Amino acid sequence: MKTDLLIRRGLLFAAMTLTATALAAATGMPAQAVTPVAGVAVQAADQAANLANAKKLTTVRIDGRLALLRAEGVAIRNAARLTDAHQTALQKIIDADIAGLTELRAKVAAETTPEAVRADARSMVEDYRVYLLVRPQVHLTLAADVESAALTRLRTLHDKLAQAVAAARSAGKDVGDAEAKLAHMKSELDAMGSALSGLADELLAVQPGPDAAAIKARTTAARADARTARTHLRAATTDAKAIRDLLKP
Amino acid sequence: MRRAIAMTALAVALGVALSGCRGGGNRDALPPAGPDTGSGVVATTPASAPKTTAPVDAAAAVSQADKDLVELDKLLAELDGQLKKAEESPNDED
Repeated sequence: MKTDLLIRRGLLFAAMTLTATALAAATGMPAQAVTPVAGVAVQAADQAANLANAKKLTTVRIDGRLALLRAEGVAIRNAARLTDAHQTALQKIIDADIAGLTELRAKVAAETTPEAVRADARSMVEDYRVYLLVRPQVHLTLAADVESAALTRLRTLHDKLAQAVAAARSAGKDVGDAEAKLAHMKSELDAMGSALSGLADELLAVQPGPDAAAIKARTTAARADARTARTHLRAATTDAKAIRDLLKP
Repeated sequence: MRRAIAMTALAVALGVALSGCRGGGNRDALPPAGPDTGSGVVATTPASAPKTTAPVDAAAAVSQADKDLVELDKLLAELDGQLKKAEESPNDED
């Protein structure tokens, strides 16, 4: 009984060995040689896929920038308060960036190595700085020009209110603390003018480059100045409303 | 004699006529325009009207202020929109 079992196991082993030998013969190569060749093929396929993916991702990132630049172009063309000089400067930046990124997009499509695509991606960021620089340049310049328009209007309004207050006081009308409010309004307008001084022109002079921190420092400073000007604008407007109310019959 | 008188009269008339064509004989002798040289011609510039402070109508000033303030409120709203678009975003690293 025990002998029968041993014989059966021996036969099974022999059959398995023969089957393995036949399979190896059928493939025409030793079993050890299959793994490296397949690995190279897989590696090549991976590299091709990586290249395709890198190109696809970079193209998508370029397209996002192009879409933003086109939208900003529409914004500056429709901005009623933008000065001609600022509109020209911004349009020049946007046109140059659209042309450059469109060219870069075609270059990416033709690349044959992941390294070249990586270099293109770096150029896409550092040579244009669409998000870090161009977008703030557009909207902070627009904001600064709106603030300048408001400043001009408020200065004229201040002078008219000052005349009206003087005339009302001469006529014996009680104008309360209108003079003090006028003085406060004037100081707010002066502070607003200081915050706006050179804001847009200095921001428009910033160039893209590899030093993101330096660019960010410039845009952050411009943003702070624009907010400061807005604070003074609101205060001056509040003063004007109060003076107007004091003049009401 | 008559002929001599006629010739003299003609010469005088011709001289007067020629002087008239040049705008008057004495004008060439005048100095160029400038300060009064005592020639009797006084160059004056029109005196500016005395400054008068126009009476400021408080009601008109209030009405104008209302219009300006409405416009300023619009500018403030536009400004807020622009500043919001200029805010930092996660993409700013790029």
